Amino acid sequence: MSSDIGAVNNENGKSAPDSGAAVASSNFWLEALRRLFKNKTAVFALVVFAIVCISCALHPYLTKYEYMVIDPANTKQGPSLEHLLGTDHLGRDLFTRILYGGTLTLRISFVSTVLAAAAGCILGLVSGYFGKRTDFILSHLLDMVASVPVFLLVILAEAALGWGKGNFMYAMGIAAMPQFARLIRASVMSIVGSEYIEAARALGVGHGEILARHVLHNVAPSLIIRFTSAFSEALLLCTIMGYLGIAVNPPTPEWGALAYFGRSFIRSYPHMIIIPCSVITISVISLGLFGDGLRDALDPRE
Amino acid sequence: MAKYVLKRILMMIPIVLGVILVVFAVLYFIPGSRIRSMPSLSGGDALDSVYTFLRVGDNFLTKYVRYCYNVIAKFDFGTFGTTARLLTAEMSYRLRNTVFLLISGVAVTVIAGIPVGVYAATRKDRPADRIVTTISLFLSSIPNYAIAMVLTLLLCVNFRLLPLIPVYTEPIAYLLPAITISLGGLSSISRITRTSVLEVLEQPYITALRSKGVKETSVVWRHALKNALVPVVSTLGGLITQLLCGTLVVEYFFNVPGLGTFMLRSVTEREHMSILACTVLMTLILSATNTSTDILYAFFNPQIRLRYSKRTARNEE
Repeated sequence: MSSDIGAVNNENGKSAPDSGAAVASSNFWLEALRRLFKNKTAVFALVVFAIVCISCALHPYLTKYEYMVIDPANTKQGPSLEHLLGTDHLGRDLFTRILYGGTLTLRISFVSTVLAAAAGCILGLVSGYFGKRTDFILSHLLDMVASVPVFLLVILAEAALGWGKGNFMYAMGIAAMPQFARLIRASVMSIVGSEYIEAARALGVGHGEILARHVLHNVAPSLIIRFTSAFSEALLLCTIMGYLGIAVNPPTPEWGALAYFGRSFIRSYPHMIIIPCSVITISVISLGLFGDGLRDALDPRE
Repeated sequence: MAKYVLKRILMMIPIVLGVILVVFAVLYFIPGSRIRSMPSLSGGDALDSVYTFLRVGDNFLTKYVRYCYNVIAKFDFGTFGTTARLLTAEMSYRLRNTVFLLISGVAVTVIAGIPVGVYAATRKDRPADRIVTTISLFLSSIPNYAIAMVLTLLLCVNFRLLPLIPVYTEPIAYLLPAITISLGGLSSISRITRTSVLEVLEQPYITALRSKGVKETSVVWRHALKNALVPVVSTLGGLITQLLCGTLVVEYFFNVPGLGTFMLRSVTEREHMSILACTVLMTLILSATNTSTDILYAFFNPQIRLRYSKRTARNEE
């Protein structure tokens, strides 16, 4: 194990790749992963975020309360052994509500980011690879989508599909799509001119296979970096929508909605708003730090 | 250059018309009828006459074209659905507030964010830089309603510096919302400035200036900053879009009579004409800012300016 670490250090110390380093770095992903795990901040952030996600996913096993059962005898209690994070104005256990709300918040933001990444990836690949008129039409369409604020798209989706049913994650996905598409398009355009793509085309490889095997493979690192930052943006946006009452209908908890209900009691019972806000902040910060570490690991130029 | 400006301005037209088309279509095809839900119109002749008066029978395209014509030529956004009040007066009042808030938010962001970024770059890896980077990471990860709440508690309740329930005809009332809006954008602009200043400081001309004995402050603030601002200006358009979203949320929090509060209310009350009007105005604001930042970018970046003047010269030949 120690010799392994020594080898990595040795290799990072050299600026010009010699034959030995070339053999070691033949697997780009393994190398990136090793760099990532050397970054203590990123690993710590990943662990924190993983703990948040896992405890949200395991919420039925972690608490004995139901998220919507009212307990009039124990309203507005502070944190205690009985109620780990206290109770809200109706006596509902806040820990349970945070965990259950987390499943919603995380799911909504994750699904919207996946949708955005998938759609943006396809559009970016097509428009960057084929160029010419396809590119002209697609990039103008994307500019149009990008010029509509997220907030507006979300509200429109709600107006069209119904209030507070989580439909707005499609809108969030559409709003985040142009950034993915632009990134992919720019990288694809820089790759398409290269000789190995030309060689593949000369050998008679079809468009689809070139796109899937060669182009996508090269774009993947920047796609992953963009995905983490888009995920944290979506998380923040989702809680903002929850605060505005757009994301879900009460009594369903969502982190932003919990903050909204806590705001009326801020002076007498501040834990009701501090807890949801700090959970949001901790998740977003850890995701951001992990994203930074990922960028350092995947993009070794800096 | 004039040609570039003109081209950019003309490109706004299809974008705005396209956005109106999409929003119009979405609202048009939502099932449900306002008129049918009015209790006084149970059916028969009364319903028919209302239908003809409102021209319900016209097809989608006619309505769309008529709406665009009214908005662009007469600046008429139609009426509220429930009362027959004209929307234009209401919208202009709210638009003024939102734009004022947005501009002051952007101004605070730019005026405070760029010096902070440059300062952090000059202190790279020293405690001051670490503190600035940590604070900006923290600020960009807190939802803006939490920032608004903390600021209200501190400034209005604990220290009583600002009115808790302000009157929105006085400019002082916009101070707290503007600060809240700008805190979100501050972190991103200072981060971009920091990276870009650091990149420029590595370049040979900076070393040349330093070896000539030019003072370090002059090197950083006069010579490096000028080049470092080019990427900052290019991100300004995205920043303003982001701040506009922030403005809408912050408006709702502070109850500012602006487009954001109006829009949220119109959606709950299903006032389609108001939603449409808000959308049109916001798209206008955004495409106007995007166009102007693009033009500003062209002014800042000699490469674009040069390329464009070359191309126009070739076209004229």
